[in-house]
Amino acid sequence: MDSHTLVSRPRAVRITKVRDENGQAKSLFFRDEFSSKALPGNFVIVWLPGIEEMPMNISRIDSESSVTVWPYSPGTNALCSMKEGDTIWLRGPYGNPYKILGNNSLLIGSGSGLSPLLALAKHIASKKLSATFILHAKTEQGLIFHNELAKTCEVVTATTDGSKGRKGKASYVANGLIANGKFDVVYAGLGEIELRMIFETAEARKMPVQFGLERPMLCGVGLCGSCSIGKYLVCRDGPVLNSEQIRECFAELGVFRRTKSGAIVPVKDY
Amino acid sequence: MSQEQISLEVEIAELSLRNPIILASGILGHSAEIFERIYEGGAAAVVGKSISLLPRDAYKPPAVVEVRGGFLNAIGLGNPGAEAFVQELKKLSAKKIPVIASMFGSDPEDFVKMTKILDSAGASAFELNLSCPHVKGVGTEVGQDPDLVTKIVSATRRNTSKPIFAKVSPSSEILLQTVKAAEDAGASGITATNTIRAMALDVESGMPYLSNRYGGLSGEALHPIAVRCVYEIAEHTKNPIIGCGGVVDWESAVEFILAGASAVQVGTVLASKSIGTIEEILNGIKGYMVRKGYRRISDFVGLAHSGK
Ligand SMILES: Cc1cc2nc3c(=O)[nH]c(=O)nc-3n(C[C@H](O)[C@H](O)[C@H](O)COP(=O)(O)O)c2cc1C
Ligand code: FES
Repeated sequence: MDSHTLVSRPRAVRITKVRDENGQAKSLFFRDEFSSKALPGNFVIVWLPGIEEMPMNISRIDSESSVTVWPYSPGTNALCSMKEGDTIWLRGPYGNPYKILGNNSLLIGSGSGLSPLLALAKHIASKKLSATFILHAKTEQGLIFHNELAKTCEVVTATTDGSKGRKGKASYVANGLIANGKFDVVYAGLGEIELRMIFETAEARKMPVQFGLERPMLCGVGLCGSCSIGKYLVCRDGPVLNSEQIRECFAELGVFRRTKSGAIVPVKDY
Repeated sequence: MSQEQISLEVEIAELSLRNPIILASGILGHSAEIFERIYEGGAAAVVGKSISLLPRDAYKPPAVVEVRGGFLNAIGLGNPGAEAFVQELKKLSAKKIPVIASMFGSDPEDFVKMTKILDSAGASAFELNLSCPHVKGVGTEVGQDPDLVTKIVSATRRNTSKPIFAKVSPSSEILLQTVKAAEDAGASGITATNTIRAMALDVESGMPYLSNRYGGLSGEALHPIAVRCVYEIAEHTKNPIIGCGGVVDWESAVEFILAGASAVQVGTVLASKSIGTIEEILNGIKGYMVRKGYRRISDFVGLAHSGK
């Protein structure tokens, strides 16, 4: 990468490896200097010319980094059918990453929100701090990263339908563990309605949180305002917001969001 | 001269502002909370994202790409419509934050309706977008048609007593004609300028980066073109001019003022640097005024014309 590289101009990178995570989600590995220097919680914007541009969390940060893709749109479908040697385009990384706050962390991720937390769990382990990871999905089929996570921290598996591990929504399982009181910080990447419920429990116990948010993004660089929540921009101030920031935008969290045109609509459960 | 003797206050077409820095239209959308943060960050006023009478979808991403010296954008004037903007306006006017409502369209009747809605909701002034370069039938295409400019400005003027600024395009061959048409029809001042139509291609795929192919160039690269526009317009009008395009620091802001602008809008720099840049620009302008012995902004508006 030469010094003239513009961070917000898509650059072509070659896929060096594809890993099938669960028969559905695929991790695409690539060499990209910018991504190798990213921190857990940073995201990139992936572009497939003529198909779609999509913000994506970095799931592994290394000399070969990865994004983990679930197929649900033309762009993600195309990414999921890619092979080693194919090309994707990236810009970024963007955003404020997770900050390591405590000695004993609780991490919670579910489904497509698991990617940045995998990178975070590895980062925490590299600092020899202890962590418990609630690995959640709607059903057993949706669980990914189990073996990799088990090498770095204690894993509590849970599914909404109880097909594997503890039964219940991620917030329900998390609130149960938070009530134990042995953790000193909560990191979560979930839907906003779930985050809202966890925040109330954490606040009652004065436990700091770091939440990774997702909002509709048009630009990713702090120009368009489509990703706003309260006074914050998820692409610039986030995607990770801390307790103080969440308090300030709590009225909006999980309640309403803006469409890319700026209209206010209710947030739906997912 | 000391800092205390200096006033940054400006009066543009009966709009009293605490300083000359205004947020440019479309930057960071139109959320009241975000606008309040920018106001607290030092801006004297904000221009809302351009609004149409009815809601309109934004273009699909990629809607933004970085180029040397700035960004190209093709957001496509996506907006939730005039009625939806009323809620934000009410919150902002309750907090006494001056909001300039930006409007676009091609039918003068739309402007009549929008002006009524936004005027009663508390807009401090209006800006007419005659200059968006990447949406068919509106923006630059309207600006290129002086008869239509006359109709749209008159329609707006008949329905508000507040200041109206016509925002013009840097690429227009008939810039001064558009300015004259707008002023004759009742515009109080001119905003110069908008982005300039542009394109960037990815050499690996051989395709334009933007989904709309064409976009508008903003940021540093636009600045000398915008300064030329302000200077040229100032030669022909006594009405206030607001400079816009590529302000990245106090020097580029002062250039606009010397060229003839009474106030300056900032946009892209809030992304390429940060919202904190507004404060830096204000401090820099103050430092310049101390050094030069100017007490008020009006002391140096258009000074570049006197040396000809
Ligand atoms: C993302 C983006 C959206 C914009 N939307 C609008 C708009 O809705 N209406 C308008 O008049 N100008 C719009 N503009 C143009 C800006 O208001 C401004 O004229 C231009 O960006 C030049 O100033 P700058 O170099 O300081 O950004 C937009 C610019 C950008 C970058
Ligand atoms: S996505 Fe445009 S400001 Fe965040």
